[in-house]
Amino acid sequence: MEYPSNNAEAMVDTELSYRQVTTDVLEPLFKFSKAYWAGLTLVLLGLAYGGFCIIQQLVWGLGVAGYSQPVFWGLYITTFVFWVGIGHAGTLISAVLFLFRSKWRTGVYRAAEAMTIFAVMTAALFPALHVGRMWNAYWLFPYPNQRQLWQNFKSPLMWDVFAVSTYFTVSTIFFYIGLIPDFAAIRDRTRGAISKVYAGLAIGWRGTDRQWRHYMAAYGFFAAFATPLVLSVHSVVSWDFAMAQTAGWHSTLFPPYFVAGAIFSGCAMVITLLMPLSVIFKWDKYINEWHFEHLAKMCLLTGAILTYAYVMEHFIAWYSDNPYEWGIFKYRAVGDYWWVFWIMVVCNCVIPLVWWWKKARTNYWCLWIVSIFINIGMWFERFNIIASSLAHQFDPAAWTYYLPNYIEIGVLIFSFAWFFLWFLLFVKVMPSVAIAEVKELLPPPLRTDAKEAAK
Amino acid sequence: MSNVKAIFSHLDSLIDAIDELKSSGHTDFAVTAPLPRHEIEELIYEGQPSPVRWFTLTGALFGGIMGFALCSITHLNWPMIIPAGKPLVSIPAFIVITFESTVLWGCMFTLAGLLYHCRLPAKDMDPELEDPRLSDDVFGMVVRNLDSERAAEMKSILDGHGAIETSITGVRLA
Amino acid sequence: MADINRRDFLKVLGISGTASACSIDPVTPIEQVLPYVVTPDQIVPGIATWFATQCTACSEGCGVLAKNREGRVVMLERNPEHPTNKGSLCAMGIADLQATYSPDRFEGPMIAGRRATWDQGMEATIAAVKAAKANGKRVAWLGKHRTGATAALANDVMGALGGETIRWEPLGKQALRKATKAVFGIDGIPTYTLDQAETVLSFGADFLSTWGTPEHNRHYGLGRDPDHCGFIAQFWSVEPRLSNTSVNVDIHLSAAPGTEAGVALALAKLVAEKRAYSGPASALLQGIDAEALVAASGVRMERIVELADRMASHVSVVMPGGTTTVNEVDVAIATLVLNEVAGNVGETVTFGQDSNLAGLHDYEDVAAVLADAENIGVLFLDELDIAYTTPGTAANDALLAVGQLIAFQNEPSESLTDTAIVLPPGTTLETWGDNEAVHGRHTLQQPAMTSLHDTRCTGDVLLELAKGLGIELPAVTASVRAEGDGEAIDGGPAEAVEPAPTPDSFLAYLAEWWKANVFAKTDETDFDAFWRTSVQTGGHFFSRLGKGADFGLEALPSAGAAQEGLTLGLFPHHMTFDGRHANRPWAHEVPEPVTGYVWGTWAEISPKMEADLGLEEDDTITLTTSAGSVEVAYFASPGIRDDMVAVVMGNGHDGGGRYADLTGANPVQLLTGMKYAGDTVTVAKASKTTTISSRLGNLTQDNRPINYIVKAKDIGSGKGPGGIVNLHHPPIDERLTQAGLLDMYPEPEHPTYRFAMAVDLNSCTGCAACQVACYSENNIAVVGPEQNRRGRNMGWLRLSRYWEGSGEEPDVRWQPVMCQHCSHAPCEGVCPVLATYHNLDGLNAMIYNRCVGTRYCANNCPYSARRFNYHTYDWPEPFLMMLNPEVNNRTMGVMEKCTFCIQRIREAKSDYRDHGQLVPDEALTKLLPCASACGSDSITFGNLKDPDSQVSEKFQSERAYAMLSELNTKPGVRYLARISHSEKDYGHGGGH
Repeated sequence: MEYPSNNAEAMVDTELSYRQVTTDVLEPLFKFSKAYWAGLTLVLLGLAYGGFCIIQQLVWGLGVAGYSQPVFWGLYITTFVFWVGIGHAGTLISAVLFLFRSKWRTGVYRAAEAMTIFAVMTAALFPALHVGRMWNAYWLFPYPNQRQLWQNFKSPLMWDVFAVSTYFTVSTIFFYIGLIPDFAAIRDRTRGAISKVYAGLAIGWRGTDRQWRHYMAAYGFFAAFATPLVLSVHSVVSWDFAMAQTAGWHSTLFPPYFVAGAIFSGCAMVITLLMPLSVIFKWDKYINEWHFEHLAKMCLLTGAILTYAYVMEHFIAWYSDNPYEWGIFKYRAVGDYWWVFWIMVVCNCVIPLVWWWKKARTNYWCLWIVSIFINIGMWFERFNIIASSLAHQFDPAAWTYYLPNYIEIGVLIFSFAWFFLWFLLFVKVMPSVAIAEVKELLPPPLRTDAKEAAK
Repeated sequence: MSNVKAIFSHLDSLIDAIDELKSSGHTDFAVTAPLPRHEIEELIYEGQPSPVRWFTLTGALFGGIMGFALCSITHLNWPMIIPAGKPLVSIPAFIVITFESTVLWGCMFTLAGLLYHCRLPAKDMDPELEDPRLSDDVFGMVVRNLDSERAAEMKSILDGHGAIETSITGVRLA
Repeated sequence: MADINRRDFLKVLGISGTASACSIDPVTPIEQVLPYVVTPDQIVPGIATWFATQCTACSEGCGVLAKNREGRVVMLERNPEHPTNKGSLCAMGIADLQATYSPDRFEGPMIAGRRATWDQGMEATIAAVKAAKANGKRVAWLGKHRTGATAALANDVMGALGGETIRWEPLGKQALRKATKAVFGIDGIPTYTLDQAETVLSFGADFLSTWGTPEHNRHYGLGRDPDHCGFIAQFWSVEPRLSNTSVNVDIHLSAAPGTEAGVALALAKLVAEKRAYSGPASALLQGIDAEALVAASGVRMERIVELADRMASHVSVVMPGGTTTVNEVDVAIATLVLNEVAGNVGETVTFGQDSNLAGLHDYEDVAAVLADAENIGVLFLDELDIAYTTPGTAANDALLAVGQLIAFQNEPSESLTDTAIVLPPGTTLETWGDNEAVHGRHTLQQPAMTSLHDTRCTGDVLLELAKGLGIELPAVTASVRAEGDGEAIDGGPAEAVEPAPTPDSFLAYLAEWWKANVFAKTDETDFDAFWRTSVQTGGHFFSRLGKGADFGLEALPSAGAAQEGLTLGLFPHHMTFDGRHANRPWAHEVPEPVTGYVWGTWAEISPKMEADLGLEEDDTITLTTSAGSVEVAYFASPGIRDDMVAVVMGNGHDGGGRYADLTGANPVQLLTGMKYAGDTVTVAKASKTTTISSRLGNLTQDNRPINYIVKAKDIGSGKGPGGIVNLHHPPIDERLTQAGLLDMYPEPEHPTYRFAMAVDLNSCTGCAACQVACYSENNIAVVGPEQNRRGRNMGWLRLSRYWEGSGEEPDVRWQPVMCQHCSHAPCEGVCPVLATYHNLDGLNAMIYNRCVGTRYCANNCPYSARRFNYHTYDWPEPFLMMLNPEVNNRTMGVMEKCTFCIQRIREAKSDYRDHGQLVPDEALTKLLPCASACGSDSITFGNLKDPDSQVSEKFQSERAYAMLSELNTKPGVRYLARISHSEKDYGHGGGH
């Protein structure tokens, strides 16, 4: 009988034993270095400052931010879309690539998924933060209430509420299911209180044949659900804009364009986060340039789609001979917001091109720095779409110019601090690499091999 | 009655053992593995699909209907002339929410189905299986409800198949 | 009752009630009655009472209706009965409501800055006068222009005290008065009738904004209305800049400052020739060399000839110069000569119903008094901010030098010295009074509410003063005759009424005065009845016929010459006027129409100068003359000459109240003499960045199809709605419409009403009255300069201004943009919580309580008509009393917008529902405050379901178009495109 290993290509060291894998992956847990504390402090400072800004806004009203009519959306929605976008790579890698049975996913998907969830948690802050009456933000959720009031389910914002909350729930379930066997492993590796906690998290997983059987089936279904979700969520987010008739928003191009952008920024963020991880924890056995190269290729593909979208937007605007449409796209390129536009173009369309060279694609420094540029570029892309279109709406007599002020920057900082807080906690309490699935990549221990070795 | 517990470090020897067990007609046994190995499932369940999928289907259908019903009923409940003359129940506008709700409930039900069929969350299933190595690098097997001589016989069979450790655990009532 | 207008009914109800309450009884004057101690029976809670009274925002003497709710006046509107402003009430007049509720008002008499009782105040006053008399010092009166009883009384008292009464208006029309005297030998100014003139020629008078009454706007509107008199008036202007009025011109001839008189004379010469004019002026015009004068002015001769042809063949009217006109008197004379030769005198330029300028003095007289300050024991200052409005320190020095300053004013001002005695007279809405601003038009001022503070009207103070000093006042009749008031043209001369003893309350005095001066001229018999009717209608108006006058000019004025260097000219702010309204928040918060500027002072400079100085948007400039220098913001106006700088007056107070002191600079300090134009000024870039901000984003409409122009020759081509304006861009394929594919969904049903509005951009003059009315009716928040800088202006009605042309054809287009109440509203669809929806009357309703403030609706409004409450903007006491109880105040985080004043619609509907009727068209057309305020009747409101309604007809006009119609939002507002006389092919302003 044949006992194939999934390890078609040699991306992990085949000499590894199952035990070794468990040991390596659980190694960094519950060990807090000075650097870690430093990072945590930084994060907490960020939260403090951001919180200070948010409280001001809560007390004095949205006016403390830099809004200038008719620019009614600004940095907050920009950042919301940015984080939702980041949140796409994780599920894409864990679900879509799972269905495609692509091997390189295994090493990175756990951390990527964690990133997804934290990113969505961060994004979810913003709809609440940006509404005029934060204390009423819960009115956006449909729940039976004595006011007998329901929402307008025809509003793209409601779609958004459903899409994001669904996406968050499903990714969380997916994430947790994946973690159960690894929680069991931690349970068996630790003693005392910690062990008890993980016993609880592992909800009595033993890895019996029956459990694995249903587990594999269910995992497949989750993946199958998550896949269209990945594509739908950012499409819905894009409809927040495309469904409005504001020039520069009102475009059928938006869903694919946004999804591509999301995956683009998401994969970049995965590189940004996982590279330090694999270096610091010495995990090159599990996460190495082979994975990053695949991520880089993903970025190249989606980046190309994005560039095409940029070009198409401008071409169609010009070709349509619609004065408002063309006016906006001229304005973006050469108007008050020219700098936003060109930061976006350079970071998203030009800089990533270096990855066409394999050398650049496999060089850690190059990968990391470019990935950060992509993140910056993608933030500015959203700002470019939102601010410029609103600053120059249809009636020139109502034009204005908007820049975020220190309050909004504070909230932006808050969002990053919030995200990294969760990620820092994650790497110390959960296995950032999927133990059980990495083991699948190894050739199973066989008696026959052992015999031959003995001869 | 007593149970036999065996620990295998090699997959092939485990598989052989399962083969033998099945041919011997004794099906009351459980196998554990630190990772999913399809060989085991294939052997034990002869490839019949997991019933979890029925949960998934029900959930998805339920969610879809729920989603559309929520939109339509609430809009009909308080008829207002809103968005740009769209009819109260306008299918294109409700598709998104219908879809999201389909996915949401589909996942919820799948989760329920999974937990139900795996008998999770569980306090302890087989005391024999509470062994730290099992989640790490060895395969475990427990054959349940054997009378004493059958148990001894079984132990020797499993040893014969190269179990690195076998033991007969005490009588288990019920 | 059913067939009379609701307002009329309430008016009668209220006023007859008041009239009975104000039965002339000296013992208990109305001022002392506190509301709600015994509820006045004419006040029904929840129902407004309308009082007819006068407007004192400027000296034109318009009539207003004061809307009183539960004892507080909450709104001022036009008095349709009043001949001076039946059309409307101007922005300034509406905003004058805030004078009553100003938080800076004196709560009672002040002596040397300390609060005193009236007894103390009067004692001090009487003592001061006695002291002055004792050591042989003069007593003098400096005040704003007054006519009628108060003026008469003041004259009598001052006469008895041997002091002179100097009344002066910084923006008074003395130049024109002098000119009229010189040309026609009449002491007065002509009345200009615009609606009969096919050509309106202005030399700078700001007659659609701050010069004269809103009647000009109404006439302008009629003159531009093709259906009114078969022609579409052409509007020309000859001046070095474009004022708030002359941005509306068809042709602008930019004459060098100082040469306007020359151009007028040249025109007179040409017109005289073309008309073969042989009147008295012809001799004078012999020596005129038209070419030379025109050449000197820098205007193209062809244009002058063209204009002369028009004036020779069409009825015309020539308006005089304005504040920015150098040597205003000469220009005024020249324009009158031009009117004479053009045959306008007696036609469009008439006398007899002209302003009553009796007792109005020149600045020279004021200066004389100020110069003689040492010898003045007591100076009465009557609501005149002499220190602020005059250049140099003369006034301040004088005020410090006089023995005792006694000021009648309600609010602080620069003119108050530390030792001054302030006797707050109460505001127009709180006191009795009257005016005869126009000969034969006697307007009565009745208290529309109880005084907020411990005030006493000037008349009462004067009477008390007289009594205290033991002055024997002459009999009422005699005193007025002494004033040399113009005799009545109708009703014959007043028959002698036997002198009555001087009454001891001003109300009684007023009645007496009316008995003698108004009643006596009528053929009425019962004075009480007459008085009642007068109070109800807001006065008594003798109808006088305008007549011509005999030309009697001896010598032509100097034609003037182009000024050396850079010429400075000041012009009044459209709302703070000469500065007297600077403490009204609305005056600053409502954007100045041409520049869009709020909260501050700016200078108009030419774009060339802007480039030369290398100015950026937020820079300020320093203006320097020999008299001083100020630092102001600037507006690069395509309409001003490179050799002219114009600065707006009325801002930059220091001690004029919390709002007046907030921003700006006082350009009067630049003047070398009391002449608003003619000084040479230098301009330099200043360091600091401006605090002022413009609410208008862009100068032009950026080649977008938003504000259309139709050519005069296309009018009546019968192509029907949209036939002559390009309705869609990009054009919609007809086949789509026919196939019914243009709409995915049908337009919602509107069973009984579809409220809609039509705005005629052809007659809109950009006067901003609609905006102020909107602020007043809807309690719109005043956010102040800092928030305005950050783009938070809350005005529901944006007056978009597109400056499409340049040079001789400025082509400035107005567009009042409010919520368009679309049938397919983009805002409704996107609100996640159903806070905005479409109601059965076609209104786009806004539910403030439901709003969570996602602001998606505002992003999706192509008209940018929605406003968001970034903070809770609250009002200082006692402004809260001024708020309209029918409109709830919005708080932090809520979206708001124009509601078509749904509160008024509801009120009207329920009124008529009681009689089982629909609201008739006549009750709707001017129901909304913006419509009722509109001087030129540009705004028409109504019900589209009624095919005969005015608004339905306007919707069918060939000039009608929907803003941004290509978006197919099915708006409830139609704009009637502006008619252009230009031969240029405009389309919608160039471009596509």
